[in-house]
Amino acid sequence: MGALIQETLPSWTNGSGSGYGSGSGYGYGSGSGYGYGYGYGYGSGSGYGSGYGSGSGDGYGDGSGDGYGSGDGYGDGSYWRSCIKYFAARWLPMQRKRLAELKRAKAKIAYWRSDSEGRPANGGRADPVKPGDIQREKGPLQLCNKGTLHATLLPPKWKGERWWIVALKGEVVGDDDKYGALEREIIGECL
Amino acid sequence: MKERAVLVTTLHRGVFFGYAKETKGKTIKLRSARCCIYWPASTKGFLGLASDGPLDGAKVGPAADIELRDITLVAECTPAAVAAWEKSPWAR
Repeated sequence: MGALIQETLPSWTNGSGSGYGSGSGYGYGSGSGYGYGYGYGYGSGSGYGSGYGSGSGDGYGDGSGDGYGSGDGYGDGSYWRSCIKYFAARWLPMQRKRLAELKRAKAKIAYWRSDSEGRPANGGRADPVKPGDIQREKGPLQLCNKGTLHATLLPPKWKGERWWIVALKGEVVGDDDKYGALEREIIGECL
Repeated sequence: MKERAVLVTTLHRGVFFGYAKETKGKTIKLRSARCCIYWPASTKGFLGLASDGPLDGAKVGPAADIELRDITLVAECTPAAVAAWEKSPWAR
């Protein structure tokens, strides 16, 4: 690695890798004990530990971790928004034209993830999608609600084998993490 | 100012590679930025992305020109890391 130019480690880099802990208690009678563990290091991901003890009064635990676990990140909404044109460059001209139309119409352009068949992968049921499909729900318009269609500008946060660029139309609620609307148009897949 | 290949992390779980001319401010403009969505344990921590770049099993987003805020760390990348980033395909 080259020189560190700025260095204030983000809090989420603490606790990466793996952490564990254990606890135990002993004694007579009844009571409770506790223990704890922790992990630390560099890299995202999570380390944790827990422990408990039982018995009379005291229990203890300890834990350790290292900074060499795997990690993940979400990026941010502006990055993924900027990537839309990368994916659109691989589409058919009619799909790019539709994207431009929807942008002009002030639709919220974002991502949606599906399973391998194009069905919802984060809750809900629907038929497999393809570019050009328009989905509608009756509401109420409320995030995480069954009657609301969703999209995101932080696609790595969500599950799903296939990524799609979609347009949410009409009233849109939420933020980069999760948007909701009653109408969603599938524009194209992220290939 | 000479452009350098850097790894930039943000408060919002962002780990980005890209090319920057100015790296001292509160915001950093990255050309051809790529987001690392996942890196395997063999990377030995996220700073391995600056020393070795993404290894097998890593997932990397496509390239885009962006401006990053809430910077927490900027590290210069080695030539080996740059080569690894540049050859990594976009992967979900």
